[in-house]
Amino acid sequence: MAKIKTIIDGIEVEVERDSWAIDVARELGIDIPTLCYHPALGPYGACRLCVVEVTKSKWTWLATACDLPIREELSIKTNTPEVIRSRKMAMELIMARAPRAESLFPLAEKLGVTKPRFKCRDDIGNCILCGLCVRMCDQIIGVSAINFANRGHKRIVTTPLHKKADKCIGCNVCVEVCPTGHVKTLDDGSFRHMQTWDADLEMLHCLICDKPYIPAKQFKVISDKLEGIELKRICPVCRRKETVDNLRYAVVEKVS
Amino acid sequence: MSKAIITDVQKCLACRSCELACALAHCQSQILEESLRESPQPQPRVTVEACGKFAVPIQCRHCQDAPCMAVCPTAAIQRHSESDPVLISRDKCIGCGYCIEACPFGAMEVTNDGKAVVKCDLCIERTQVGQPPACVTACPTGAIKFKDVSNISADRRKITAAMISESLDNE
Ligand code: SF4
Ligand code: FES
Repeated sequence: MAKIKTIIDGIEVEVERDSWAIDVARELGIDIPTLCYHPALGPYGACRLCVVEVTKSKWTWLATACDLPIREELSIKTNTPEVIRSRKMAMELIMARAPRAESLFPLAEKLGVTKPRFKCRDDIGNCILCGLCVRMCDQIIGVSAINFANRGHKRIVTTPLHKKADKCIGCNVCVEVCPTGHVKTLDDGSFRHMQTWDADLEMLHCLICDKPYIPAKQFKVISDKLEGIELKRICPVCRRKETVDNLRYAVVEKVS
Repeated sequence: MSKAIITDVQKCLACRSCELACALAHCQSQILEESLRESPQPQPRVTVEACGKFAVPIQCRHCQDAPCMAVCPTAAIQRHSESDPVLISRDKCIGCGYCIEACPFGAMEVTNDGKAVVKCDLCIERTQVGQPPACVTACPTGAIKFKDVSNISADRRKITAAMISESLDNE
């Protein structure tokens, strides 16, 4: 593969053609704030926090690093006044949309946003429309139980027709990737409630200790994916105990 | 040459030194006093599991046909070559828990914040500089050993021979 020369914050590197600028920068230990980027997903460019200043011959412009492929010699700066100003504005807009998203406060403060100058929304929870949950559910889990609905300022993430998400398998990935904690889930005994998507999933109980440990639908997806390997239907803790138990017999046999 | 962690079941005291050493080796400061104040809290990748009279430290066996690797939807679990350990890339892991379900030994766990999965990485950072994995160094009875896989059966043969000669002596 052809190597391409690039300069990031004065550091000259040779990278493979079509590497994403964000990955190159992070490899060099350069900190670029992101909210909608995930290394397991393709480029998206929704939050605009990863903005950097790009120079090619005599042209200079701002670009989002997470969807900037390096195809020719570029000079990238991640810390110019222009970049800082642009990031601050993006963060202000995000904070106006989700003013109560506590997990964003440290980042907002770092970017110099304490109180957004704009009118704050308080009717849509903490969702900032980064699309991580939607993309994970579709591209990685392959279920697509949720998606965007409406346009403009009415845009939200929701289930088809705002009804119960019957396709949801309860894997909880949306909960884990959501940067603002907007997606909520609750395990109570035999059910996992995906509260935000209004789905109730039946849990499988461990055949040994009887504790609920995985949603039945998720179990099915995993065992289909691992065809040929039979899953044990017991929880990880009991699986460890079983391993030791098997060893015990092996040892006892050998000793006696 | 590929090396593996081998446990002598009869030597394990269940003191859980390996768990402590493991958590410490995988935390930020790697200093016991400071690690207590760390967030996220340090977490061991090995669990001492008791059963009857025995206790055994259970960690990832780095299976040849690793089912966790096959099931990972983001290809976050990889191994460089056949003799290398199976490793999880923290960046790509989304915490879906598919691998936890696939692991026949129950050797994987979600992190304390629930956002990713961790398991034994054979202390790759230590072995690269020639040190044995942290649990091996910490075990006071030498129950955990880090051995060349090809030496295992040779060692077994020696033990068997010793056992036979002992029983003949006793007769
Ligand atoms: S719910 Fe969370 S993950 Fe989904 S789009 Fe909104 S902020 Fe992003
Ligand atoms: S991380 Fe690049 S736009 Fe969100």
